[in-house]
Amino acid sequence: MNLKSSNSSFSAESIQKQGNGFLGVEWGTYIKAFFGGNAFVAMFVLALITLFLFKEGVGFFPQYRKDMELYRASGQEFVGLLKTELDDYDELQQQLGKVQVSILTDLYAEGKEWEEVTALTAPFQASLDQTSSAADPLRQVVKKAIDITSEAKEAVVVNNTRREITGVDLTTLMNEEQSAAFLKSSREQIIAMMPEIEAANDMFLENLLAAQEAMPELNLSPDAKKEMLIYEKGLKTFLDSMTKFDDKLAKYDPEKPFTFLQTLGGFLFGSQWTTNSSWQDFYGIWPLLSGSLLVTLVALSFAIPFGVFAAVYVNQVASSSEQNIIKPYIEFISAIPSVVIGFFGVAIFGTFIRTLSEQDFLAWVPFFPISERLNAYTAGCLLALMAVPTIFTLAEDALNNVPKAFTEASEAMGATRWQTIWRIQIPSSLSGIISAVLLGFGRVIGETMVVLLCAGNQIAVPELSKGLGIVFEPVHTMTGIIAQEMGEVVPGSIHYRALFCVGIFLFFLSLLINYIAQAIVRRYKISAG
Amino acid sequence: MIDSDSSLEMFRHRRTPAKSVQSFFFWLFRICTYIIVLAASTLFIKIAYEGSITIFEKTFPFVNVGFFTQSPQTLYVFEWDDAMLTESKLEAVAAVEAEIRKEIPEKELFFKDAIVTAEAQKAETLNELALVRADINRVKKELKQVQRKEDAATKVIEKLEAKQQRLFDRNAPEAELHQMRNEIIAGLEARKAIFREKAGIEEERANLASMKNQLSAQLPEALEIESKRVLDNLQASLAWPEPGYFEKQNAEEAQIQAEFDGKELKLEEKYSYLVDRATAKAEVLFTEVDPEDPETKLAWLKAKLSLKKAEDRWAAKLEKLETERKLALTNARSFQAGDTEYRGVYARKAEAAGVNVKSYAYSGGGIFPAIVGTILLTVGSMTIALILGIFSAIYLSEYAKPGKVLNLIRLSIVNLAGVPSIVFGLFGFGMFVVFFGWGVSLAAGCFTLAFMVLPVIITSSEEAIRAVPQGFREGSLALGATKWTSIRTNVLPYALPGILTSSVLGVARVAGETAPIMFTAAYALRDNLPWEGLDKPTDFFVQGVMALPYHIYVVSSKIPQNEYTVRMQYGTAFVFLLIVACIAFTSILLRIRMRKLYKW
Amino acid sequence: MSNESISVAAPQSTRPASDTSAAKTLIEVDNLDFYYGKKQALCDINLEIPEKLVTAFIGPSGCGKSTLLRCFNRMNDLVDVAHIGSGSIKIHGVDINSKNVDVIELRKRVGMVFQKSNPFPKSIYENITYGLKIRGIKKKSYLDEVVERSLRGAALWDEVKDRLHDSALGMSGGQQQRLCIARAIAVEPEIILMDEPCSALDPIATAQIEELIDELKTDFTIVIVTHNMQQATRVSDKTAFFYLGKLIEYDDTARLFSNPDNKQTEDYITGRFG
Repeated sequence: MNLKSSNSSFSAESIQKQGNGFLGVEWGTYIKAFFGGNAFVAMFVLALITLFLFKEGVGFFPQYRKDMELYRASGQEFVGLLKTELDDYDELQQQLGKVQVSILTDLYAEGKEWEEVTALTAPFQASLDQTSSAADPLRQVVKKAIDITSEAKEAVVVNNTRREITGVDLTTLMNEEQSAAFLKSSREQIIAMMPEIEAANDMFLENLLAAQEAMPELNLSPDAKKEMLIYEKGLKTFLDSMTKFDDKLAKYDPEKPFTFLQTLGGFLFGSQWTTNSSWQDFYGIWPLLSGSLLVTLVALSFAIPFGVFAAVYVNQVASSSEQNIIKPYIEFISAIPSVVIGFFGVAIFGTFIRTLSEQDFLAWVPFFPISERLNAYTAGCLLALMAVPTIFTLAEDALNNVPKAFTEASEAMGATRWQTIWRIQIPSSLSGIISAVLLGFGRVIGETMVVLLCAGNQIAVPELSKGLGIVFEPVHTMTGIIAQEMGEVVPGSIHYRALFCVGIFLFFLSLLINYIAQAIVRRYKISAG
Repeated sequence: MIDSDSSLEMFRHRRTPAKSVQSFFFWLFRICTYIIVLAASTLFIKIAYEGSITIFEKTFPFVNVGFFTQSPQTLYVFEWDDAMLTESKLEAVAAVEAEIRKEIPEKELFFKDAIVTAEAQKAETLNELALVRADINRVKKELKQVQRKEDAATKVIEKLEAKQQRLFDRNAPEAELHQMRNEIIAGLEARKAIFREKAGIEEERANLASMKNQLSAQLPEALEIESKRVLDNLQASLAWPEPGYFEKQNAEEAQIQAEFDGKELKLEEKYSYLVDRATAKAEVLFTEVDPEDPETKLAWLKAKLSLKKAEDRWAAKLEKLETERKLALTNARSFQAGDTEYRGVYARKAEAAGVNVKSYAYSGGGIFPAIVGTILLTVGSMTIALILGIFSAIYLSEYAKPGKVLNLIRLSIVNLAGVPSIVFGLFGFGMFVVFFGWGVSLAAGCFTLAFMVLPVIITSSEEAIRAVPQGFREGSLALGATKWTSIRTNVLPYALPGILTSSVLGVARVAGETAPIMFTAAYALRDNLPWEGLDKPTDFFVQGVMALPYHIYVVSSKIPQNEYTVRMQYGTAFVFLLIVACIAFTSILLRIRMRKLYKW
Repeated sequence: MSNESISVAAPQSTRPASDTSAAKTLIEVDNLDFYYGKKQALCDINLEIPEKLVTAFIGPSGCGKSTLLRCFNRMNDLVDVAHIGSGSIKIHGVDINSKNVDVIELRKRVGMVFQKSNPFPKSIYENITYGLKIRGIKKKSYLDEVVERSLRGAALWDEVKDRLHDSALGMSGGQQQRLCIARAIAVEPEIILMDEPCSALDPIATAQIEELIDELKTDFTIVIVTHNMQQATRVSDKTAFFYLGKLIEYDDTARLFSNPDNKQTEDYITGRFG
């Protein structure tokens, strides 16, 4: 049999390189270069993301530091301490107001007329007035101090801005030294006021104690008593803190420089995120981070059990027809756009939760009824719906990857299905399940639209004192704040850079989560041999 | 010999604790699974139900076409009460109508003349327009030059200032410092001059732009369009209110009243009978109550309870009926119109008639521009992402040398896939909108979205390519194929299904994302469609667009809520969900099909 | 040494013994050193493979026999860390590793059949014409002719002639491997390299392939790597025994199996190790 049509001979010429190429380079090289170029562009862009975030973000810290230095140098920080004290006191007053409201409500409920009620509550009203006017001397002093410092700071800020813009005659402006001296004079004015402040503070304390003694004995209903108790507790902590305040004031040193570490700490642990304020802007990420964590906690506390249980059910228990329907269905959930879920929360779920909390049969729950329909719980529940498919799919994969031999060995020894699942399948797929949970965590904490629409957007650190009721507080989140404020900031301003810093924080958080998840999977991979 | 009965006994079903535990847990898991399914279904069904009220109609063509073809508009609702529609008001309406009738021929004539004149002057106008355009281009160039000059001047000043600082630092003599200060002042003066120049040029540009608009409006084509619009509006405004319009509406109202009265009567008939019967029964039982026998008392109490229940139910039904009646009456007495319709057709007469006009932003019209915007964004970003992503994947899996660098690249790509979308939005805003100066634009949005899905596309494409058995490549190479031929004929065709599936999933993700486009590409409202009002083709890419997800966000949280907005929200959400669901469904189907087709 | 192992070693084939001494040398390996990264895989190999005969490479796993085989059509280029240290491989006196040798042209002339049959997931027809199509040959009549000739050559024609356009993946393992051989001979190479072609096949399929190899050697030079010593005795004219990257012995098959020079060879073929 002849399998060869011709006698193609093997010779040196036949395997010589032919001239197929361009400019002496083979086509293959061009093709490789083309793909390589593409890959390079893609890699470059992805690297650019990190670079760009940094480029825009790091400028925040020097700028914030400058701001805070000015805040301190002008004496505003010092006055700020007094201001906080007064703010705390106002809050306390509000609590007393609540007591009053509940007393009045009780009296009206008893069917009393207006005149009668006024007469009955007159002594209480008097002591209320006395309490609120207790702080008046201090208020006056503080107001004066606020005016002085704000004016000084304003002048310097305007001066600096004008210097930056230029175009205006330089000689009329202060240079650095001059403005420092100017600030110092303002500071010294405040320090000169120190005896005045101390006197006012002492008087405040005296007045407060006097008013407390003048408080009439009240016959209170249980509700009013509850409010009163809260007030008394608050008063006690306030009085305690007042003595500490004195210490703080005494120790305060306005000349101390503001270090970079303090700036960083102020960003990471600062409990205030205040922007566009007439007093001073603070960029502390803690209220946002705590809000994000609270929402995530709620979401995961639902998503983990539901996701994992559903994965076990579908993988191990369900009939194959059930599997064929449920699995794509749950995977399909992950395709629902987040804005639609958020809309569902705003339009239906939030109201549903609030209405539910107002039902009589749930009145025994301590923090029901809830006042806000949009809160961490609402957002958390909806985020759980988004995290379930992620956790479900990955956990199901992990269960699928457990070698058949393991289960067969277990069942051959007479273990029930459940025992096999509990003792063999789940332990051997645990690394996969944990990484699934971590990726779910990453997905939830990075989600924007749902929290923007449903979390209530109130910038405050949730108060732990509320116990479990904390989850029904409206919160703001890191992703939410970027989405809400980015559209309104001036590019290049400190606010703009602060938002980029939040972005960088989120970026690294998600990288960390992802990395840990992958490391776990790699480390504990079972070899299916 | 083993007794067969006893051996059967050995394998008999037994209830053991282990089995009880198993069934408990299986039921728990089953319940959890079905709760998830139920929760998702509730969402789907609720949105589908409410949304279909908006987008479907009871009459032909059964679909609310306007919802898909119009722009979002303010909804104007007319409300009136009969006292307000006095004779004098109706006369005023008639007067307005007469005015309009008179106006129509006048306007016709006016426009005819204008068009004829414009036709005659067309060449001239065009010439002028071209000149103005050239001027604009020149001015733009000048502006750029001035900008450059300004930047240079700023740099000089910065340098001088730095120098001054240095002089300060080493305590240079006063004279030197003085000279330095003078130099800086001179520099600042020079820059001030540049500022003035710039301001002049900017003014010129604004003038030219308004001139251009004026000139373009003088072209016969523009005039024709304008004339058609004006005349159509006038013609249309004659049609409302048709004779007896208000009477007809009133009659409708009376009909509704009668209808609801009938319903109320029916309710009364039904429940008064029930209540009467229950009352009678309770009375009878009351007479039979025996203090010794608790049972009789119980029976009486039960009868009383059922009486109360019946009464409560009646009250509830009545209340519901009243609400319905109110709604129906408002509907009958009010009249809806979109933004353009209102301004063109109803405004003058409605004003004359003095009917109450309430306006609700975003509640009328449709979502056509949002659909268009979403499609543009999706197509644009997927084109960029697929080209970059697939080619990169080919390079990484086929050409790149394995080693630490490649592993690092892979690791970073995988990790980038998990970065929150808002961070990509932030990046896009900083880079394209601010740094490149594209502004809020289609291009910025496309690139942002593209870079968001790029890691996903690269990872999954690479996975698909690497899943093709090595033997295919070797077999082909051993037959003397070049590397590229082997990849083209024996790798890519088999990796394609995987790539396709992942890219369809990418499409779903891109179409569904809101956060990255919020401040890079999306406008809350835009009058022009993307292809309208463009000066030059490149403008297409630097304009903002509307997008479905952003539209949902805007109408559900940025504007005051009312019953009309709610309809819009559900309609948009339903359409959006439908689109995304279709894409996702395609991907799932594709995957199943491809799995069956390609197995090796 | 037991009787059994002698009987195994004895040539069983009834075919006429080829005249090995008269054959012209085709492949010439001179002092070849080969490395995977820093690890030396082949050490100073000297070998001359004659034309139109079957040469078998035997040896325990990891002894370098497959590596050497893959050197003949430079499939090792695909492995990034693999490189030749010193020495040369010449085919027809041409150093195939020299810079101006086109590896594509080389592979067109040196075909290969792999351990695991790897038909492309296309139809049988497309599988066979693949090598021609990538060379730009599109004439239908010619392709048809080549398909028939190759399939006949691979003793597969009668089995598949009715389903040429069915997927190749529907065939049995032995058929798939023979298809791979048909695919290789369709491009008319001079040399066919076979890397343990029967290791995944059952005895019947193996016998068919061995028969095929016997027929093919009239037209092609065949180099076969095998684990199976009986197979080497059955199909090959010359045999090379490798151990730990070294060529231990190279001789006519009959001689090597009946009267090995080297102690290691003897131990291996008698089953003392390996």
